[in-house]
Amino acid sequence: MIFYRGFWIPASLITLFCCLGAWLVAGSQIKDHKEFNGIMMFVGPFFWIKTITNVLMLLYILQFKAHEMYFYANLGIRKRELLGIAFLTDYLIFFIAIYLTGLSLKLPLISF
Amino acid sequence: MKWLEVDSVDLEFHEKRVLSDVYMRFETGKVTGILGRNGCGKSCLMKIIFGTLQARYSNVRFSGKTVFQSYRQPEKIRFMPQDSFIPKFLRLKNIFELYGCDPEDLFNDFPEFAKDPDIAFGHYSFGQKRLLETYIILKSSSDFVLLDEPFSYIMPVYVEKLKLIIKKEKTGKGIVITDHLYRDLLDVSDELYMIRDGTSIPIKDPGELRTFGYLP
Repeated sequence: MIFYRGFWIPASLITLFCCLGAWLVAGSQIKDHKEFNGIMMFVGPFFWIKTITNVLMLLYILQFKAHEMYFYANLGIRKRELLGIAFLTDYLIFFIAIYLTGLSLKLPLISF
Repeated sequence: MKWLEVDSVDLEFHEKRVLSDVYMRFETGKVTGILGRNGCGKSCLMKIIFGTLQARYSNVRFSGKTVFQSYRQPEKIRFMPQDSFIPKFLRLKNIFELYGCDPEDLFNDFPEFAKDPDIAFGHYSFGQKRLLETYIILKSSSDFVLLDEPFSYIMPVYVEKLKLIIKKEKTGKGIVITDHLYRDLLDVSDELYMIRDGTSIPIKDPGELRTFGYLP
């Protein structure tokens, strides 16, 4: 979590941007169409925006924050574990935010 | 007594052999200095021992037992690299807590840090950061600590204080130091190695540093 604190602000802003985008797209189409499969139907492009920006953030961390990895290595934590947990947490937050966006439009996450 | 050995190190960068025949032994209760010209592989050797740099071949043993990725056992080894490594947004209290150290020790040894212990690490000057990083690694509970250039960028008064702390801390741990401020290094070292042409040379007399071309 300490490591995630280092980049949670840009990560959260991107998540908010994606949620706002999904909310606008879903909100505009909900008036024209009655049948929807859930909010996930509109998330595709925003998921890729999130993924691309996360890759860019990862490259930035590896390039400019590489020395900070020693702080965690001195606590016995592997670089892969650190990055894996941080980015999984970020995606979890992203999907929770998307779920909440769907709820605000009375749309489920996925429906069959 | 515990000991740490490294041998058979084979490290190449872009087909240039950096380290080829290294054997070093470090013991708890002793300070070991490593000297060598710029680019000879001192920092790389420390990273290999710590386990964050993969050499083509290397063997690191703690009291005779081979270990891989030594850093996975922070109770055995900790490493202070050349560059500042503590995240800037952390506060002293949090850093000391994570590394199992008591900030009161720091405030006793260096009272200037007691004035505002709640400011973020990034607000300190480069020299203060360096001093804090050295101090935290030195004071953390670990059998061996590797310090890469601990005396550089620190004002002379603090270097003297740091040397006293190193002498005090060595009673419970093995300390390995590399630094070009060789007079300070010689002051605290019980044993000395030099790296030359990729190999390690045990130095018995500081005069040998001149013979091997490290000193003018």
